[in-house]
Amino acid sequence: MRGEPGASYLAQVWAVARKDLLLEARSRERLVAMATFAVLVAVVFSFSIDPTAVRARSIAGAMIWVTVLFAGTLGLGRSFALEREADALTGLMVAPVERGALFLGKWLANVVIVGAVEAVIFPAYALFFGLAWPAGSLPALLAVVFCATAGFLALGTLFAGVAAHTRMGETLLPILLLPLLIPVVIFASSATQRLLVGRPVAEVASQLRMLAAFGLIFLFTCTALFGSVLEE
Amino acid sequence: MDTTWDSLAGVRRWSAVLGAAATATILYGLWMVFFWVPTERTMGIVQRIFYLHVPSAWVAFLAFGIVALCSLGYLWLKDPRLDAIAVSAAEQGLVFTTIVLITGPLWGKLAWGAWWVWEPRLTLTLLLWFIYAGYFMLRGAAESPERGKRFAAILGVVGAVDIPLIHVSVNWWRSQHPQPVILRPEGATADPEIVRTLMVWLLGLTLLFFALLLARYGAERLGERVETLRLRGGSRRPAPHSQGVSV
Repeated sequence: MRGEPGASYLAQVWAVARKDLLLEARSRERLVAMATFAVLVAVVFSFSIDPTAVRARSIAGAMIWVTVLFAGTLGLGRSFALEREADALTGLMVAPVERGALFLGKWLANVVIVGAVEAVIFPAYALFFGLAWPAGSLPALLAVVFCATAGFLALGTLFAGVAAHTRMGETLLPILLLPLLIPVVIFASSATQRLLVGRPVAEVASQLRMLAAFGLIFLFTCTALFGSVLEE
Repeated sequence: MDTTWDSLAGVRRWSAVLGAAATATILYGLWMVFFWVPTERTMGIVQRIFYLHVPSAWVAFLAFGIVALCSLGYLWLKDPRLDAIAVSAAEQGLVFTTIVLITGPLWGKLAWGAWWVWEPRLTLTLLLWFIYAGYFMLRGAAESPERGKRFAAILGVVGAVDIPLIHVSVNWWRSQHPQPVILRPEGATADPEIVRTLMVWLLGLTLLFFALLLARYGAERLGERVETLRLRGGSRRPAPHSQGVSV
């Protein structure tokens, strides 16, 4: 751990994130599992939709965000499971890293990993369902994806830490997370859908604001609460 | 006994007093609902379920507020009494959200013609129910009781921050969808007799909530003491009935 005493808060965050990303870059197990699962969900969706009854293009926003949340939750379970093995968490806790920085580092690593999975999900859906976002809407789409992912993973990282210390482990995670993530589902899928069908970017401004507010509120709340997860 | 415990006699006494008051108020309320209050003109007899439905929703949200405050306090002060209050309130929150979720569709089937409508308040209650359910699953599944209390408290705080956001987003989502033809219950409550009956029920269920809260709190504290004594006694000599199980 490179967080020497006196290392600035941001350097501590980065040290934790870098550790997780290095581990992921070497094994790639979470990334591969999440991306494969996500593409499979897209395939399952395409088999379960009757194309004569509903056009995939009208529900693509919903399908994409259901996929992101499910694939993301699947990978989040591993985020702390790894630390629990060989008691690496104790090592992290005695390292000169503040609890808040530890949380933000884990969150940042999760954002990068889930972001990489999203970079698979969107093209996969575009490919399977013949979707194309208008070129002018791409910056807005990226902003929506980033804000929604940031908020999702703030809660996701906190409860992954919680669930890792329970007997039910990863089974419990979606049950705790999904009711809390309803705002993300509502705003992200509606914004993604509207951008897809070519509505003006200004029309998703309110959704984007809500997603950004959700992300900021829970980034703050979860950073503050994370210390209580680790206490012995 | 080397440990001094605060007496629970007061808790029990107040629980009994509030329980008696709640019983009297609810009996009076039942009499009002069935014999006294006039039938609402547009909705008819089915409107009477509102005297149970609306106060239950109020108690469910009151319970959630108490869970949130006590959870925050518990994380801060580590006082087991705060956790005992939180878990007692959460249990009743689960019961009263269940009542709301049963009485709402019963009314909705007749008033809206559908068992379930994604009405914002009903939707919020449903999500609240899921959060309460998660609260107890988390508590039960934690590796140690101490962790369970802490984790449940974290969920209590996060839930309290999230509920207003869920409310805003569900409202926004509803405004994007066609509204069903709703007979607005608010428009009908102008009748003073209906308002009075509703107030009696609000009082009755709130009293019942606090009576059960105290009773449950007493039981929770008592359970903790029994556990402490059992652990302490077990180290000296196993209780006769537990010999077969001791390892």
